[in-house]
Amino acid sequence: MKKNVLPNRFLLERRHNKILLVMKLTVAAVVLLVSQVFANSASPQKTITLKLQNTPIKKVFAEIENKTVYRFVFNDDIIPVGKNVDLDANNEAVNNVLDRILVNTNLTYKFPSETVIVITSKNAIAANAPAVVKVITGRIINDRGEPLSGASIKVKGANKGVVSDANGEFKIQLDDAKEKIIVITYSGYIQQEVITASIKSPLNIRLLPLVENLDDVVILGYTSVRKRDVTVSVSKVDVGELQKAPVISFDQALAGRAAGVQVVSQDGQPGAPINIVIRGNNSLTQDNSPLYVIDGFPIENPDPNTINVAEIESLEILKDASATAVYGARAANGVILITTKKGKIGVPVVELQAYTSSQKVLKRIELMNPYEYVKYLYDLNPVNTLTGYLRNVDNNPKSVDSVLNLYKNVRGLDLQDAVFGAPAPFSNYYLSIRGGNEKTKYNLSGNFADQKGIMVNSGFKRYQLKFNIDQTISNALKIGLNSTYTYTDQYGVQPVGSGNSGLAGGTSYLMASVWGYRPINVSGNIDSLLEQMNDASIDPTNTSQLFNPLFSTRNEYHKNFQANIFVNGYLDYRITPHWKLRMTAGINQTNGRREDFYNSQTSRGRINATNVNGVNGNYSHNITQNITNENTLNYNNTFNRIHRLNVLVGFTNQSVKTNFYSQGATNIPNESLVIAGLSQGIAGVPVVDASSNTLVSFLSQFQYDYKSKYLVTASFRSDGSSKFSKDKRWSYFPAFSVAWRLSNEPFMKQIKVVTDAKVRFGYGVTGNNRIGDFSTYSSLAGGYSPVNNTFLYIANLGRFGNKDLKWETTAQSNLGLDIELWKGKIGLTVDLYRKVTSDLLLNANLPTSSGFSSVFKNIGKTRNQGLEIQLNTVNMERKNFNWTTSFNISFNQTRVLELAENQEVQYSTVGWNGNYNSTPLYIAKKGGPLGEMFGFVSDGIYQYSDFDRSSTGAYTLKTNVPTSFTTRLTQPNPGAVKLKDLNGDGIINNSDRTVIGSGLPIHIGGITNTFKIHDFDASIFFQWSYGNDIYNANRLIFENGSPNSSLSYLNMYKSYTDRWSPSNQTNDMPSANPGALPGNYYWSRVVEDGSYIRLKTLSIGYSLPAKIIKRLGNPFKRLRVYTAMQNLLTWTNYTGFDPEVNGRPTALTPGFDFSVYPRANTITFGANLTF
Amino acid sequence: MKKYIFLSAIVISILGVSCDKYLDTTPQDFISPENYYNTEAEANSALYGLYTVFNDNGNGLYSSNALTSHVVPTDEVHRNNTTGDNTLAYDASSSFLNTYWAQAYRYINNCNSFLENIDKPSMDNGKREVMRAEATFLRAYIYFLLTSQFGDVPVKLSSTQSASGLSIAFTPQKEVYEMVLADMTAAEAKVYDVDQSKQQPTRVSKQVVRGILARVCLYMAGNPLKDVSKYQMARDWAKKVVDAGKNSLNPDYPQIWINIAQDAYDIKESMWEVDFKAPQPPYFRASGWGGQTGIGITCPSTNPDIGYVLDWYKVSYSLAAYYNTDTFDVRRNWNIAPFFYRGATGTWETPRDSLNTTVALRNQKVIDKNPGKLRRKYENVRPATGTSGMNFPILRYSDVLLMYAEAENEISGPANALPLLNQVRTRAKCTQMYSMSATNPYFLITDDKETSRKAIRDERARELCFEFTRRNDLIRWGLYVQTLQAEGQTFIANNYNTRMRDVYARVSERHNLLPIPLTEITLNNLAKQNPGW
Repeated sequence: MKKNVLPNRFLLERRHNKILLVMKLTVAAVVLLVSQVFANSASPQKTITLKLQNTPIKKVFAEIENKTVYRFVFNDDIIPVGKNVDLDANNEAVNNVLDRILVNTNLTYKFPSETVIVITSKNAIAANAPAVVKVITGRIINDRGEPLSGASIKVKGANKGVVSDANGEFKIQLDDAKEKIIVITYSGYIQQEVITASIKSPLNIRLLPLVENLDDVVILGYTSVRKRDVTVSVSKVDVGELQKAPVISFDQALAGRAAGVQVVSQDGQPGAPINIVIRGNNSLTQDNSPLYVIDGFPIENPDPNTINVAEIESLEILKDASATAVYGARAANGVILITTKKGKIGVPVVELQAYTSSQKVLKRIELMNPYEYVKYLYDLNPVNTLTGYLRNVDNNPKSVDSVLNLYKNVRGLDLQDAVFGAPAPFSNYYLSIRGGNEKTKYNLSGNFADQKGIMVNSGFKRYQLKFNIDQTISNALKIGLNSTYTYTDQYGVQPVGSGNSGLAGGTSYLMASVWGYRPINVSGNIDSLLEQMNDASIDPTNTSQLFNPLFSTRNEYHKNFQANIFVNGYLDYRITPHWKLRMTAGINQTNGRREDFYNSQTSRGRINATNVNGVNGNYSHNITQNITNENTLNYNNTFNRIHRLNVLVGFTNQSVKTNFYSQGATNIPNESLVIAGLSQGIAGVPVVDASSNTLVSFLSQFQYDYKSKYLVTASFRSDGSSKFSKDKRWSYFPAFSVAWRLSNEPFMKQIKVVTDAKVRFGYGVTGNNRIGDFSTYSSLAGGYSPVNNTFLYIANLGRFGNKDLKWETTAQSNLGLDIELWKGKIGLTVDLYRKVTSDLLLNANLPTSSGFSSVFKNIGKTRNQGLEIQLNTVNMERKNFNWTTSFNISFNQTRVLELAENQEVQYSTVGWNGNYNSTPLYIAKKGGPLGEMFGFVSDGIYQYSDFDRSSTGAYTLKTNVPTSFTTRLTQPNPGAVKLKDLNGDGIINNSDRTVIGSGLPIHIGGITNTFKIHDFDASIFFQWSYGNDIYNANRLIFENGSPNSSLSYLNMYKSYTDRWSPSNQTNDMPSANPGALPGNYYWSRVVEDGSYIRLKTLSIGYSLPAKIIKRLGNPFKRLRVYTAMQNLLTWTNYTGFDPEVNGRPTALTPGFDFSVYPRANTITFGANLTF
Repeated sequence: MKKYIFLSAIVISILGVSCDKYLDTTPQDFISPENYYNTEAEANSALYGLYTVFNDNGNGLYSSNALTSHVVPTDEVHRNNTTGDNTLAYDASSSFLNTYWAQAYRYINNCNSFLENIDKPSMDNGKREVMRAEATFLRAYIYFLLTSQFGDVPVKLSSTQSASGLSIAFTPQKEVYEMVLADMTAAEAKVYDVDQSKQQPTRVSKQVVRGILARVCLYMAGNPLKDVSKYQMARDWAKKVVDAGKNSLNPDYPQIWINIAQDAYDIKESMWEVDFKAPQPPYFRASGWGGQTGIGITCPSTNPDIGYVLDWYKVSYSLAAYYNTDTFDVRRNWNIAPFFYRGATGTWETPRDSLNTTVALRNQKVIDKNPGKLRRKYENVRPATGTSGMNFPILRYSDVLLMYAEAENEISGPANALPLLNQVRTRAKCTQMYSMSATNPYFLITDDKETSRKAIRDERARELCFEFTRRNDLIRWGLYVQTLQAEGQTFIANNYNTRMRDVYARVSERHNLLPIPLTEITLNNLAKQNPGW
């Protein structure tokens, strides 16, 4: 047998060398890119400079490979061993060099293609001279016309073959007499045989995928199904589009991408938490976030920042119970399946993605200028203002105006200038190397992202390294490992939830103090105002002085480090062709560290009357360890080519351990040591929490289809959770779904337009166990309490454990329709669903006479129902012009069907301001929707006409006009806020409150248009939310004429210049000094329509055409440069920073806005380079 | 072969994990009650835990917020404000009521749990019985606080075990009082005598239980139960305290408060105290009334030698008037601070107004003044920060004497009562004493029951002001509504601070009982609201 065939070992070795080469090239390319210099791209590689002495020939070949684009192909056996050569080439053509090396050997060479050198034995050619050699060249492509590199082209019946190159091209020599058939194989594609006699070179071979197109496969938990055969409701997110958004984690780009998925971020802070709710909130008080399954590993609350968008291969969202029930116990809130990129067969592909962005604050709030501010102060308190700002002029309109007018030319201070600073950079680098052969596939990637916040001294960094490998050990056995290490570093002041200094009225929140800071002081010297730690001279009698927020942003030290390690291994064993065993084991561990430090220049650390802690700080350390083992056995068979059957049984177990350690110190003497200074302070009580839970599950799934016409899926899972008592811990989750492919029926065949049509119905039960690990246990709360002036250890009953707790169950039915018209030109999916959650795990209030105020109970019931429509169209498909549209809209309605015993309503408060914290702002009524805002209805402003005027000039409220106070003894002044007296008793009290808004939208959705014109591509993505209200609590302070004295003298929003005054008797905003006001009323005036439509992502890219790349000498395979813009335009009536806000993200309190971190508008320039 | 290896691997992995064992997790960072009460030490910790009902983290029944919120205003103190909990503007939804109620029942449940478990530890049975008696007494005392303020209340004598079926009917006030009386009487027999107990004034002794029993009986004898037979019992219990000879008056009235400020325990005078301690961190927040009901400071920064006071409360007109009967009464210038702090560091003791001017002017200015009973400058802890560790006296010996006098007067008239009253006045360095007949020109003639009743009542205000017994006293005497209405008129008559008129004008008969908190009404099917709320 002739041995001019490449042994595998050699292939591997070559590939290895090439990786090194590619890496070098990459580094070179990075340097090129960074320096922004595109060097002369002539092909210097065709010549070589090489100096070697006494070197084996093979080594010489390797050196040439290293320094040039050429690849050698030869049979190991023909290379003479021990025959070393000397070489001294200086920029010499490669063929000349070869001539010199091979001069004394029995070898010759050929250039079958531009970059391949084949070394053969002269003898061999001579010996086989009579054979008729047929040379076949060709190209292997996939169904989409993309070249498949690394495909194997073998001669049938002979151990002889070649591999396709990066462009999918190959060249093979055949003995025309004997070698009649070639076999083309490529992993994941259907093997193809070609009879050589019929071949007309060049040959174009199109391989069809084994399970159709990878894009057309939907991963459904433990199995995957062809998209057209799906019987359940699942949204497959277009990852390619998702990756066009310049964001740090996938969840930030998810809103509007999939029907039925509501994504609302708390605010615009880098790394801020994002709320994903699938088909409405089930649970009132418990977590409603979906279960994540990342590369087969189920996690309840992963840190989304550990998932790089660029790493995602596919993203599926399982929505209905028949899809999620296989995840049973934790699937009631839906399941998000994320599959990350894996190695692929073929020559190594190196991909470099780099972009840099500039982020600017989307919107600023206009504030009063010095003139308006002083005028406001004069209206508020003429006496104080005359002596200060108005330079002791006489109190008559003319003189006051003359001084006031001087302020018109004075430059005022707007601290927004200082805290937002210059546009913030955001850069992201991602490098990956993927490759493999039929046996081994690998993927190695790294990411570094550095996002500065738009507020000074805040930001987010991520470092990530990921490696995975899949190894086929034998025909039956395959193993693999997937590992990721992520380190994130979030830093800076958090405007949400920073109300801490004990100041009243929410002014200790960062944005509130930015807005409220005076634009000018009495002396007119702005610089001195900037340098003061607190604005002491606002009003000397006012003890609640405003802290300078610049000091907070500069001096507060907040660091949040998270190190996440994720390792997941699997073993696939094919027992028989139909039976497959899969075992996976994985660990996901997060080590988090948080550091907060308040030095003497911060509101919490400054030395004053109320601060007993002095300079203080705290650090905490949290460890979460999640270990999972899953074992499934799968039977897959097709009978008579028409009955397809897939059965899966499995056993899984998971344990989660959490530990938390925290230590604080107060009165720290050396603040320059920052967090390390804690050791010198007075130590607080360390906090140590430890907890764990375990879950054991048995699962089974059955899929059957008859001719792809009638499809049935059923699943059954049983879960045992350690969170419940012994007799309550097991629960069973059945589900089924059926589908009928109408289009396969004869009567439909005539309707040519409809290429595919399918009706689906599913029903299933899922669970939720999101309660504390030990909620069934009562606890003893320990501590120390003074007994005769010594602290003694005391023990009291703490939490009340409810031994009767059981799973919360959600039963969901789903009716769906999938239609495809004109061979996929139009694809429509419509889903109608209803889900009822009962035995709601509710932190139910108890009559306090029981000794407890609340306990977790299985009580309460909610219902969500809705409609989702997803429409994909190919609008235009020309050679150089391609236009597609993807549209989705979802409607969801939530109803509270039952609450705790005897409970008709559930009120919810939000914490933001000491005066309001115990006043409910949200209400959930039995039978009503969730998240309704609750308060008084604004009725404009008290006008002079509402009062009787006495002879002395005193105003008395007319008897038929209600007072805004709880007693008629107290009366408002003209210009005060007026509220509707709903029960008509003449006074305003709690019984006059009603529903004043709704935090949940009527519908949400998104629309993406993508264009491809020649080598340009563009994508425009709009996202909207309609029908939701936002409670703009900022305006309770900054447009309200100081509802309580501690807020007087703050600067106000510019809009407040249009307030009521005797000369401007409007009916909207109260006067500057309306007298005493009810202190803690929520009223409807600041409920705003939160509907918006936003041009969320716009990206325009240009890919360098293959021809040009070739002309450049193939330094890389692909280059795309692009610009992407995020949050470009927003159409909304909302007056706050941003309508995409959820300041207090719980199911009961949607759409609250107070002093949040504003969102950024991002402009990105980037390049994706593939080698 | 390989096939079998893997098949057996899966079998092992399934069977190897015994599911139930895997699912049996136990709490690691807290202790369950089932695992407690093993030793005497653990029982002690649980018993001390019961005493935290009074000082617990700002929610205690005598912590600053819970204690003072609902007892202001009276004719001795008011808060210069028209809104808030101190202005009779509260209703069933007011959160301080719910906090107070929830705290009371939380500790009733703790007491029940303690009583159910106290037989568990192996320990000396004598000690065990003392602990049982203390827990029984504490539970009864909490019920006493509840029923005296809320009227009919739910009575629970066993700990809550299940999350369902928690609606519980309200027990009539009379039955609650009977139960309190029975439980306390039983406890009296077993608790330590005053010289046996080492942890006083925190832990109760026989003398304390007797004194509290006298108080309970007086409440039962007054409104609304009007069970006058209880005067006899009240007298007997008070007499027992006095006859035991283990308590006495501190000869120097101001020294009582200096002792309290300095944690120098004087259990002869101050028989039972709630223990507060500052600074609070790193332990339970146990700061008490001293940070709130004290002498105001008008500068924003704290002088570390004086300590910060919230300066919420001001003295009312009538209290000053009660002192007018005897200008030598040392209690006046101690209890009504004649100065406040100001200056850049708050060090200057500035007279509020001259006390040498006329009585009329003094009265007019009196409502500017702070309660001066508690003076933080005497505290030992330096720096004196925002919170004060001053203890709160629940029962003082002078109270026992005055209760004794009051009961005696109701039973037998002034003859036996007045000497007890005069003991308290003598200690206060008063020059005028009460007498049946004028044997001395300074003596006030008090020869009928009605006059001496008034004298005793006024004496209680002079002696016990700001110890927050006044509201309950006025209610049991049936004088609460009229006294407050009259106080409002006094504000008007003196043409000072008309807005306080509105506050006092809010009082009505319904205020004799506090409203049952809304959460209880909503969640307890069998709850009933008090009349007028």
